[in-house]
Amino acid sequence: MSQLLKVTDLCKSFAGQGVVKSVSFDVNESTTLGIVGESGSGKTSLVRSILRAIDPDSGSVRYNSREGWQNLNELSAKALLPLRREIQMIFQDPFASLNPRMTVQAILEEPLIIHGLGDKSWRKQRVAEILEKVQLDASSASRFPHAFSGGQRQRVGIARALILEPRLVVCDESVSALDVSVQAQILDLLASLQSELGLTYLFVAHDLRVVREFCDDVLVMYAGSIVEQGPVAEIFENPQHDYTRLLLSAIPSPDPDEKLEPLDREGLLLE
Amino acid sequence: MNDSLLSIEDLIVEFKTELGSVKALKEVSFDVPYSSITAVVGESGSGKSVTSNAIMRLLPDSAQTSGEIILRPQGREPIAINSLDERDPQMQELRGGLVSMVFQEPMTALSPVHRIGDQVAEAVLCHRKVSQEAALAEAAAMLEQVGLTEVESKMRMYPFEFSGGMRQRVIIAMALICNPQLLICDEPTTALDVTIQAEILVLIKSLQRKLNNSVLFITHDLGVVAQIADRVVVMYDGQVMETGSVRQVLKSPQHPYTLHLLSSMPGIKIVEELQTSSEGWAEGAPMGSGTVLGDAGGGRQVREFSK
Amino acid sequence: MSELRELSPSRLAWLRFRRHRLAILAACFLVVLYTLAAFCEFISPYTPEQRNVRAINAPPMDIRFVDAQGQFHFRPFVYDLKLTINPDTWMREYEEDSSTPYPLRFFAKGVPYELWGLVPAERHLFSVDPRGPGYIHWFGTDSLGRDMFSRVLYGARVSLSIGIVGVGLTLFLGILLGGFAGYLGGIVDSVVQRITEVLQSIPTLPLWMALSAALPTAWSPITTYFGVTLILSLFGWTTLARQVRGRFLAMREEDFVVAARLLGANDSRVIFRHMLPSFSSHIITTATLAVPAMMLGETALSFLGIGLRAPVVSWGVLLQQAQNYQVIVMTPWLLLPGAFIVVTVIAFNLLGDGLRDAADPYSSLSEK
Repeated sequence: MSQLLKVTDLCKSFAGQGVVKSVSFDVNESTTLGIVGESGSGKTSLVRSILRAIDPDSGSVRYNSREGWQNLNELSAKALLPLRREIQMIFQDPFASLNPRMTVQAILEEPLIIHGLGDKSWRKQRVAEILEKVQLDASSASRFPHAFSGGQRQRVGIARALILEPRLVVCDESVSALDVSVQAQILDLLASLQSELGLTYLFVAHDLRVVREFCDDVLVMYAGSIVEQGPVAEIFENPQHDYTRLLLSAIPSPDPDEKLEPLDREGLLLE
Repeated sequence: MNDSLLSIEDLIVEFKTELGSVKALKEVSFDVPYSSITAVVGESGSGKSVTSNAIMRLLPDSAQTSGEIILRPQGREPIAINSLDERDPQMQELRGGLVSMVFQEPMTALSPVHRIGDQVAEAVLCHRKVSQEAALAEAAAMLEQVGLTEVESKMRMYPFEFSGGMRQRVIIAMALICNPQLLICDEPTTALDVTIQAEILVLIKSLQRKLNNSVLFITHDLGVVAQIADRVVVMYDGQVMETGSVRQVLKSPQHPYTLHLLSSMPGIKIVEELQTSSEGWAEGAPMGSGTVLGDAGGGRQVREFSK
Repeated sequence: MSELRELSPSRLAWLRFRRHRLAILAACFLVVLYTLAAFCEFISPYTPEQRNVRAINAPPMDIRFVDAQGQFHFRPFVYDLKLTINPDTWMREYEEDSSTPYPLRFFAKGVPYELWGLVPAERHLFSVDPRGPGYIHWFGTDSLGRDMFSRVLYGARVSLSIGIVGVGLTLFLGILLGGFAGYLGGIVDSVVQRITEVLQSIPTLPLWMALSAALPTAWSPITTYFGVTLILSLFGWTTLARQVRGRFLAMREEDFVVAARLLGANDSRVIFRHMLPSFSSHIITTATLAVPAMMLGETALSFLGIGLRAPVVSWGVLLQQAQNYQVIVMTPWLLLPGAFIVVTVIAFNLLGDGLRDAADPYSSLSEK
């Protein structure tokens, strides 16, 4: 298995406050890396720095593109443009992430237009293909986002991310705003797309139950630093760090016989 | 003879719009027994929040309701909440006195320009004639009960100096300070981190045991239900699918929708034969099942469905 | 509800707008008023400068269908006015003379004019035969015997158009500068912000007065018109610029805008495809609410005699005649342009309110 992404010593601070503190990790191709942490842990800033939606202060984000290794952090906006085809993002809020004034056709076609791909009829066909891939009706293309339910909108968001045939997809809390049954469907969809297209996911989430089910590896963040990382089975079965243990003990089990214990935050001193 | 604190009987709520009316609740009936925690669980659009707002009479004017909501406070005459006049003095007594509510968003429920102590004391002064000092003393005692430390100094602080979990504790203190017989919690932990959620759940449960009141807990998370509730009401599309004790409903679900909810939970593997019967409950699936809520024995009710 | 889902956002906005009966009413009123103003040469029976020496300070005349004998006529008519001098007060008093009716003629030839200053024509919507002794002054006449109805209509053209042209200029400046400030941020933002602060801190009326007084009196009416419009909008853009800037700042962080940037869209695509359309409805609303302010500014300047000047006719210029108490008591119909200003301003505000509610893409249709 080849490496796709290599993040080294990535730092980002806002107003002198470090939100991402010297974070390093690797991601292998066609795997899913879960990034978990509570609010303020820096997980969103981390992935947005990788995407260059915000500019990190220091460190390198090396990406194994179709043209070889490149440090995303050093590229100009112009040099980054071809790489945008390979790295895409699925947002959290399926309401806010789609332009309410554009039809689904226009939303899905936009990435193709930006990158100058194909002519009008080809784009139309491509949109139809991708809609089928995310299991939406072909007639959806002429509708506006408000005509869809939350789960359907998220499918449109996924279609927009996938239409450029990316290799790395960042899912920023992409299922946490959805109802639990819809969430299960979207996770199924993401999993089947991964095996079909060989996608690599960076999966940001606060729900450890979802991460446990969906991810191969996991990275636990606290206050801007990684406190523990490793394969999901390893971390969930045998957590080494106090904070990971605390997080795991806080998951409410759907079995009424497994009661939550009052949490023990003592001894959890992190810098 | 019904001996529950709150009984909802055949509650129908309909919203009038320009393009016809939308039924948010279709004959919802369930009870909240004395000194227990009843959880109402459902996905968005199931009508769980409409139910709690109907109990507090917080529905907009466009809503038309029918059916009964009866509160039987201990040591008092029963109150038919649904037929109370808006100007009836019992209304003021009801809201915040006999019944109080904790909302989802701990950021907006507190006034940003008043000190924590004053806000909690204000809740006392609204319902009882006591001196400012007595109210502040009560507020301090209550804040200690919800697990705040160094209460004296915290009472002089402002909400922005508090974390989300601490704010939610303050809101719970405000809701409980007049010793309500029914506490309604509408997704009180949804906006919180999982560790804070665990602490708040433990807190609500221990306070309920201590104060011996009843809690109606609204949530979409079956994990939370399992941890907090004594009884469960499963709602879908404005109707009750199944009610029963938390063990009955979660350990041996009878209605396919309950099963569908359970099997959708990440990390839950359901036996295959059960799994197949839960299919078809995808997003927006029509009811397609029976209309009668049948008694399944042991205080348990299940809506009829076609197999 | 399901049919709602199939509609486009603009169609939904129209549905929401339609619920505001007052806004619809206001919109209809404004459409009628603007049409009247656009064709004022044709609609009015006289030109604004034409004097009728037989009717000085004449009161509004009634247009009648039933004569003194109680007989109904299909063709409306007016009675001649008989002038008497009150022997006690020495004032002119007009009395209807029911023995001489003047029938109205429609689409008949009357005083020649040039439509929009271009097309020579002589037909009027209604008139009284100019070859005879009759006349019609529906809104009365002023102290020089000029027809008030014609003057109000000609004034409407100037006053109403100054609102639109002025707001157009304001919008251009506001969106350009506010947009630059909001999107580029940094130094550009600071500079634009400081300029708006300085402009907003200057009391407007004295500044308008100073600038208007500086307009050369030798300028032609049309140049003065644009001069005044420019002065008005030069100080009006600051509020709009601030709003546009705020919107830009907020929208830069919206998920769908971030999404477009992550797809590799360049600045102009992000601005013109995603940001501007998203608050175009907001801009239309703001503009609608800004038109009355513009009109009132023009009226104020003209009323004070430093804006537009005769022979240009605007509602403000017309109101100059009504500056003293005597006029209000003796010839109250000279205040009619004021009534038009009030009603028009209210109509614009009602329309703006309706548009504002309709513009919110997520406001539900089920409320109320």
